[in-house]
Amino acid sequence: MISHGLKRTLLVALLGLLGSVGGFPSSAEELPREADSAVVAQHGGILRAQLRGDPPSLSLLEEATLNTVWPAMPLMSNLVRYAADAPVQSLETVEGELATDWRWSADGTQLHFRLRQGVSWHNGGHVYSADVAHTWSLLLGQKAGLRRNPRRAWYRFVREVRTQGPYVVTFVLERPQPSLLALLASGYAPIYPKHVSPAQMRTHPIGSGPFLFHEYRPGESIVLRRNPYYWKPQRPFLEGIRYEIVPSRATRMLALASGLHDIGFPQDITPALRKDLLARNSQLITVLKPGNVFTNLLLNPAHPPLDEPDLRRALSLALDRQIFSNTLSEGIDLVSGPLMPPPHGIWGLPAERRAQLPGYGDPAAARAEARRLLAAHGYNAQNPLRLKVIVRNVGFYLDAAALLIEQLRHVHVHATLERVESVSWYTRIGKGGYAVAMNLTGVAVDDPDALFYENFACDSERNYTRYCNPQLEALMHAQSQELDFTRRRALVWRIEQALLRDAARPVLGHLRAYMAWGPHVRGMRLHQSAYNSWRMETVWLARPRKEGGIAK
Amino acid sequence: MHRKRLALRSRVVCQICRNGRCRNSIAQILRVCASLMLVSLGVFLLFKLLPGNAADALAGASGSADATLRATLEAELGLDQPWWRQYLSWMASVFRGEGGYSLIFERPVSALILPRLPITGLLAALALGWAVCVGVPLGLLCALRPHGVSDALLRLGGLIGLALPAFWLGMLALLGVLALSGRLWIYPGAQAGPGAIFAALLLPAAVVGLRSAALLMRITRAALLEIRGADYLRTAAAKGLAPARMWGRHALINAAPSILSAIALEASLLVGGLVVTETVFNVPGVGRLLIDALRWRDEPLALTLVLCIAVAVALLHHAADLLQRIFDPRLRDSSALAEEPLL
Repeated sequence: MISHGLKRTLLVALLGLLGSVGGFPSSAEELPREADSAVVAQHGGILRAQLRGDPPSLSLLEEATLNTVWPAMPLMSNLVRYAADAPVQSLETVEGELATDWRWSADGTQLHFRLRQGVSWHNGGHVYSADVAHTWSLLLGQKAGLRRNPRRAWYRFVREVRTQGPYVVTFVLERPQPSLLALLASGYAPIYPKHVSPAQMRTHPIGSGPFLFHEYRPGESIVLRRNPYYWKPQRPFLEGIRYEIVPSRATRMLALASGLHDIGFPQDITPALRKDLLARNSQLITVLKPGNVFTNLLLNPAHPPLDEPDLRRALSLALDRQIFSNTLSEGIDLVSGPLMPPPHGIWGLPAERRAQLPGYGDPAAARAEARRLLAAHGYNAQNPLRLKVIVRNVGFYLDAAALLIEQLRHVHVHATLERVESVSWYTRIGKGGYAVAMNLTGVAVDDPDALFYENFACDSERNYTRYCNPQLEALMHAQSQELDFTRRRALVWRIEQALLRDAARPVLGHLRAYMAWGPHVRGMRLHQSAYNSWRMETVWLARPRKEGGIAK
Repeated sequence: MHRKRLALRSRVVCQICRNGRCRNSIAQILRVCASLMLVSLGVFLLFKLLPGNAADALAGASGSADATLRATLEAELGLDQPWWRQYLSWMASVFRGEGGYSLIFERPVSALILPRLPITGLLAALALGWAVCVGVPLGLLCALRPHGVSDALLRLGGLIGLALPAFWLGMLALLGVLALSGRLWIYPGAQAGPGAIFAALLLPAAVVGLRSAALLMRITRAALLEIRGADYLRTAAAKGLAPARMWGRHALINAAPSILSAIALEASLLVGGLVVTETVFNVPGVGRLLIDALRWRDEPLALTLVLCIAVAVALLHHAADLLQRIFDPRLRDSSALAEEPLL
């Protein structure tokens, strides 16, 4: 009889062996290899990119989906952005875009930007500091116009944005927040023109980015064309980008393999699909990256008996996270806490520290502890704890939930599954009508402020379980104001450890997936977040394809 | 002979009008309009019973579970109004020819539907045309030698055609064509031009029409076998009429009413197959738009689409009724028949 621990060890060893013979990519393979560094980039051609569905709108300030970020980011410009060539996005890799330079005030409560002069909006006129102030007056709720404002929590310490002449703008903060610069570099922080209404930005966005909005045919395509007045000389290389909307994933894969489309949708390709793609077209370049999205459980503390912290901890201890990764993604998903773990992320707990936390070491021992906690509350094999797990009626969630229910059985928790239509998922969560919910959380920036203030602060809009720990919140504020990276990271680790111990939102792991493109597509750079890398000004085609359909 | 028959037919039509048939037709049109109004109300109320609305979908898209945001969105989208007011407002815009304003795409519904109608219409027409051109002759072939080898093989083929799910068949067809020609046969986009779009719709039409062709083949066979032993056919055969003329001219015309009913029914059911096929072949048609509208709970868009489909189905059935009356004298007014027999 082979014990469960031994089985798991053997499975991991087998996966490792497979990885070493080429079944799974090694870390070196995760980076796109381009032998064309000496080749001169060519201008022209229309990139045919895939889009998996219609975006809810094209307004980056209002949306929180890759369906919007992927086609809309090339239209816009930020004050600052992450350097395209840096392998990992961090505060050190932030570079100016509309801002030529910036500086903090001595007390860290004011951030001054000097704007680039002569940058044009796509429909005429120049970018001025008033546009920056206008953008943040929308985001801070001082001006009406945005239908939704999903990242309001990012700017909770911004009191106002002041203009000082046409080209200088100052962010005035309530207290120091060094991460503000990292948040401003996200793809979700573009500058909106003052002379265009937020309603128009949803359907016909006007920006100052490398590409102009040309046409959106719902259900068919979004077409961008080159901005001839882009401030950066000789950029972009492409004549245009046509995002083809292809809802069927099988059709997307065939279109990619056959060369009909040049580049796939970000985070779209599982290991099994990658094998199939490469079998059909071995020339394709596939790159494995995390998207800064993690799977987690929402345990409702308002739902008895989960109001007992011990029981929530027991559920977290019942999870064997490596099995989730092995089963759902052939082992490519990362076992982690809520922050992305190294080497992809710069803030997450390293593996050796994480292994010391309950539920991240030996699964058999963790489950024994879970059974002990449950037994203390009267739940055992004869009297199992009966719960309902709600899940979105979508394939990935259903698979994960089925595995979760199987794992909970090991600790005498008998769970049943209830499918909820995606459209009413958050309404259901908001009303608290659940005991356990399977959830996905995406964070646009690999930064503690973005994660904590969006999801774990007492008053966060997305703190669905209303988890509130005042001591931890004080630590969140402390790390947010800390200027020294090492000291800040130590605080962040303490917070992450506390969140995991409290089973605030038990994490199953960070998702990873492949993105693919043809060998003739050059200049693509991917980072550890799927939300900040799509300006597309460095992308060019080694074999430009001329097409009709993009009228000047 | 032929001229005489035409004259007879036109006299019958005139007589039908004189006998109050026009009034009947107007009454029938009014009945269809009333049915459509009822359909619109029924679908509207059913839509209200679905869990969630467009405000939920929009709030959810930004990951928000905030009830205040949802309430604000509901007010902005007019979803906080009483249901009857929402219904009347939508109906008013339908009569204005706009079909309402899409809550998600933020443009008039007509602007979303009109570019897609020709695509889906063409796809449906090609599929139905293909089904009729293949299904009816094969049914005739089966009926000529019932229980023979060709009949058995064709019936088996028909059974397989009925059983194959459209999405699977579609994917298989895509893979097959890709393997043979190296080309992925999906919708090329509006920029490709009408010729390329027409060519791109042939394969999905064949896929979606296969089930209809199989059904029509079986129905044609059954209808022809039913009248196989009829006296007039025996007489025709005894008089030495050529089999092709006998079956094509006399038997098929008499079997036409049941075949027409099947075609009309199949045309209505085609919508379901089109949704799947449009997704696999990436055709931006009405079926896919309906799925999106339902997913986003975009009421005006979904309701107008359902109404369009209802109108199309009603028109098809009406046309089938008229054709049946032309082919089957028993369905016409008895008084008109008493005065002037058609044949």
